Amino acid sequence: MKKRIKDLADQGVPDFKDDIKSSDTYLTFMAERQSETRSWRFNPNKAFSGLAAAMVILLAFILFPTQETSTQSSTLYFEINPSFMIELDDADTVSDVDGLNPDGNAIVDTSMIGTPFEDAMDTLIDNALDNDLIDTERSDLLYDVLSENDELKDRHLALVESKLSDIQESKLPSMTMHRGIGGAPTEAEQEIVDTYDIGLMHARLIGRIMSEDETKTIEDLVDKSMPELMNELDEGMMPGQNNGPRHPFDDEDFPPRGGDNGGPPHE
Amino acid sequence: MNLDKLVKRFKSGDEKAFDALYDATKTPVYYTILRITKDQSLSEDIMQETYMQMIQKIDQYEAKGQFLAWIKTIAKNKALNKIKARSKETPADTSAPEWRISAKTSKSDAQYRLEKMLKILDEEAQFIVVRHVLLNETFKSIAEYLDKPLGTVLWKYRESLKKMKREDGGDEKTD
Repeated sequence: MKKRIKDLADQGVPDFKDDIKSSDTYLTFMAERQSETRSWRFNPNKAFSGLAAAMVILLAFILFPTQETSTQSSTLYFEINPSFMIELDDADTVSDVDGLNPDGNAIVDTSMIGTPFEDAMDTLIDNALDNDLIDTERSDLLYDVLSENDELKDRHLALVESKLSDIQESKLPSMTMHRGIGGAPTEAEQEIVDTYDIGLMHARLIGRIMSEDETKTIEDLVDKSMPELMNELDEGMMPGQNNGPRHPFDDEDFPPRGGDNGGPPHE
Repeated sequence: MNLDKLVKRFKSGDEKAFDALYDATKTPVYYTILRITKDQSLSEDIMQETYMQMIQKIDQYEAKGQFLAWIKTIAKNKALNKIKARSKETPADTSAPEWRISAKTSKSDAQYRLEKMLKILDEEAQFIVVRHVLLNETFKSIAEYLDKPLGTVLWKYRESLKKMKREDGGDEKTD
């Protein structure tokens, strides 16, 4: 229904894109910006400096061939009401950052790309606190790390847990941390996130409860806090099902892993 | 879609980035203007002016994930200024609630249908649906504006969608 309303609304919006693109304002802006980009590209002095730098790097590779170039990275998922993901390279530097719900979009900033992970996390949490998006009295943070490289994943997991402990100590003493389940959202999960304005991992936990108890609906669960949902999941288990400590997200059947939505498979 | 990434590309002269920015923001921008002016023709003029100003002031935008809020503020200010200037000539129309999106003039077929669907809701429910679906506002900010608990707003939103779905289904059968 939300899509139908949006479609009708979109149909009612006049399209002035071509008018704007043929205006002097737009044409002048584009001409200036494209000219700046071109002059930067073809500046002979810069080109010479670039060439010299490239030769130095090439020489370094020839003289010291033992250093292997790596393109390995991990994707880190966080949810503390704002949901966001950080892609981290093997030098622990942020190579991408993106929001996964409206509150997440409000705190991410592309200037974090290229900065150390610890600095980016501080900025993200500070942005969330400044915008009053985190309940400082009682907050639950879910996190997960995915990577095709197990060694890198373990290292980044340790890095994340260490940084989160620092954040807990310095900024959010009442925060409780849980390892959640990462991965790009499926279409169904994204619909729940958009419709109910909740985080991705929150939506996954609700899906998990509904898959175990068919009498439950999203409406029954959507307003509950993360600890309440976790309790509900534990209470809903059949006798004998709970053999020892069990993580709320450790079921291999839920959520659907990677694949059709192009997201990374869950490890 | 990360609007800040598109802004960065647009600033360096990427035309496709402008197309994507326009497509991602045109609906909330347009309805932000229309709910203030309630005049389609005037809203269209203001919408074009809004994007022109966006282009001129884009270097003043600081990438903090707030691009939509930023351009909606430009649109809102322009609409309010126009209304203020007009009210000196003609008294302002105060008969419709502030959040009504419908125009009094030259509605499109889609707008007629949308308005008809929204009319079955009470004013508060209309406010919630319009603010969330058309203006991309979060439930949290809507709840704060209405001074109601978030759960109440979420419940009312879901009930409104169900009601509109029933009405829309019934309409489709009779059409």
